[in-house]
Amino acid sequence: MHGFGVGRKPKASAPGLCVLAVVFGYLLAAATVLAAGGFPRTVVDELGQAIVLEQPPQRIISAGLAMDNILLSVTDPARVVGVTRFALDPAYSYVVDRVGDHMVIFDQLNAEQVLAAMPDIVLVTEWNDPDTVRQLRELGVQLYTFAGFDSVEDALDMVVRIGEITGDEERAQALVDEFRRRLDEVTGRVAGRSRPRVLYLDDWWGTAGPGLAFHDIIELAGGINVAAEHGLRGWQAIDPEALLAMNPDVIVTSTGPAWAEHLKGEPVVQAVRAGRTGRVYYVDYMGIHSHHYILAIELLARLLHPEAFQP
Amino acid sequence: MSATRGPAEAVPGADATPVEEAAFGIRSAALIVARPATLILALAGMLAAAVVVATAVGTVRLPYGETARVVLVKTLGLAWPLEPTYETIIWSVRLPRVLAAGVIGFALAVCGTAMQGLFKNPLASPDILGVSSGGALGAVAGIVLGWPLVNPWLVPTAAFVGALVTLVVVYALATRDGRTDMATLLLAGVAVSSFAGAVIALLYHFVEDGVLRQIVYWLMGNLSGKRWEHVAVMAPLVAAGSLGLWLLSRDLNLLMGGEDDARALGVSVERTKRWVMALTALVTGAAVSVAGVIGFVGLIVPHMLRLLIGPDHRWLIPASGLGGATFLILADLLARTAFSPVELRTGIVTALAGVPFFLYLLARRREMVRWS
Repeated sequence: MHGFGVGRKPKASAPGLCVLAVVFGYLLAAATVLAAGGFPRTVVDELGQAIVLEQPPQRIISAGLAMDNILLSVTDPARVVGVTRFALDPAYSYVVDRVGDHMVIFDQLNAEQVLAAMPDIVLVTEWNDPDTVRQLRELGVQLYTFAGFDSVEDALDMVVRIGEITGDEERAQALVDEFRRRLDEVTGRVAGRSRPRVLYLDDWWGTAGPGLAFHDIIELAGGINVAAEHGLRGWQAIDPEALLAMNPDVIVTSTGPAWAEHLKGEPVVQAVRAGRTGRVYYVDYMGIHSHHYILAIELLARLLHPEAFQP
Repeated sequence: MSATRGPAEAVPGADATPVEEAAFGIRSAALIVARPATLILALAGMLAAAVVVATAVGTVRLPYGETARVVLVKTLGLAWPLEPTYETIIWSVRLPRVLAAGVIGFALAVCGTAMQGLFKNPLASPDILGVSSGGALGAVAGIVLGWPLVNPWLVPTAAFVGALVTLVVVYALATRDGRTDMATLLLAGVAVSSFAGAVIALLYHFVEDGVLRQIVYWLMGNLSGKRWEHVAVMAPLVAAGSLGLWLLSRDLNLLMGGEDDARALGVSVERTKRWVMALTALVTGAAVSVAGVIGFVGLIVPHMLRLLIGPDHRWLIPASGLGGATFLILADLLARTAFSPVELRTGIVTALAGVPFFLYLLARRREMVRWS
């Protein structure tokens, strides 16, 4: 409609266009209010596919752990009819108490279960079985695909997007605002301090460079990611010997406290600065893509800069 | 069994089953429980039963009456109203998956039979020429290049092409002056297979997480999400290829007595080898391109049936096909439902359920051999 107006009046004056835009804006706003919280609305998923939602979806399925955590944080659990089995596992889920008996628990995306739950919309990722996803799409199931999962900002973007889908944008925005407020608090405290060189290490001897939230968490908490220094991108398994060349000040893992203890006993770890000074830490909340990353950032910042958090 | 020659040096008798029995010591080696035709009928009956059970039982519990109604109404094209959710689950999701499993099981078992016969090697399977690995490499290359987003059929096509190209490479490596040396062929197949596997593993390091997941789904062999189109694309190739292999079954029988004897008996040995390999690559390629690499079926099912029906390929090839189809359908049923909603990989079930049964057959056979 907008394009039509402009196209027909190529010589329209700037003030005229402004007035038109303002009027159009008011009309849009009025329509939004009238149509019960902004529905029908069109949302665009991370593959660029437009999805028209006539009403706020009342039967929502999440087919990924990140979406489980965010969806159940953002919306009323009564509207969620399916989550992954990881949503029930306290090791991966911060929303265990919001998983209800009415929900279908998925092991992996299963077309039969999805269809039987008669969802209004299914949140999927590029990680779900591509054949099943295509099958559901062809059967007319409304799908919203998330891609990326590569940064802290992406997690916050997911919160906003899921708020848009469910119509809970206020709640979503509140979560993001709280995230940013607490992040400002952390960055304010660690600003100007000398930044320790930190290496992320999991139980596959894998580390994380830019392109993963682990990297962002280390940098936001006031550290320097050693993997990035060495030009690594994404998740990469490293030779334990490479640790000697990297010589990190701090090693951090999200695998578990037991793995952190194990690492302390590894000869190559004992040979680098982190091992000698005992700065090998387990940090929770690092591995699950959601706004809960702020908890990891706070925890790690306290470990990297204990003096900055003295009362 | 097929590798042991024993008295077979004599005459792997033309089409007289008794002669072949004498030649291969079938009576003592196999657990022939019934006439081959009866056994084939029984296998067909088991396959039909497996299709029915696997369609009736699934992750989502539906009333059996409704399931039967959906299948009847859709097959006969009746205009009766159907509960749309049931209709979609049964007709669009479950039944095509069951049939795809059947076609793939049929294909792999037939090819395994042909390869074991051709190589006279009990360890031979459809993968032995490197066809599966070549197909996998083709598919992975397609996934890495982002083809799934361009057109969903590009990756299966790439897999199919990869399988055929691998066959050509392996065949060329093992052929000198128009004669193919089977030992060289075997080694070339294993080597090319390992090489393709290594290239795939190397790619792991350079792709993004999402792409990696897609590759893993593909490599693990996957029956979920299979639709009518998959069945429709595979079935003609598998049917034509299997029929071709069956037409070659007399030549395969004669080849088992040794290439020289077969040649003396008028078998065009090199031509037979070429055709068996080409048809196997075609059929395996079709199965692999749709479902990825599903191991074990093509190795064990032919042995099971050989123990039950004897090594005559005229009976063994159809029997293996029916047995393989039944076996994979039931394995997939177990995978879907045993720990529902947790869905096991079909390959786990094929190995867990199939190996003990196979070992049981082997053990019984040894007893019979000892006593005879």
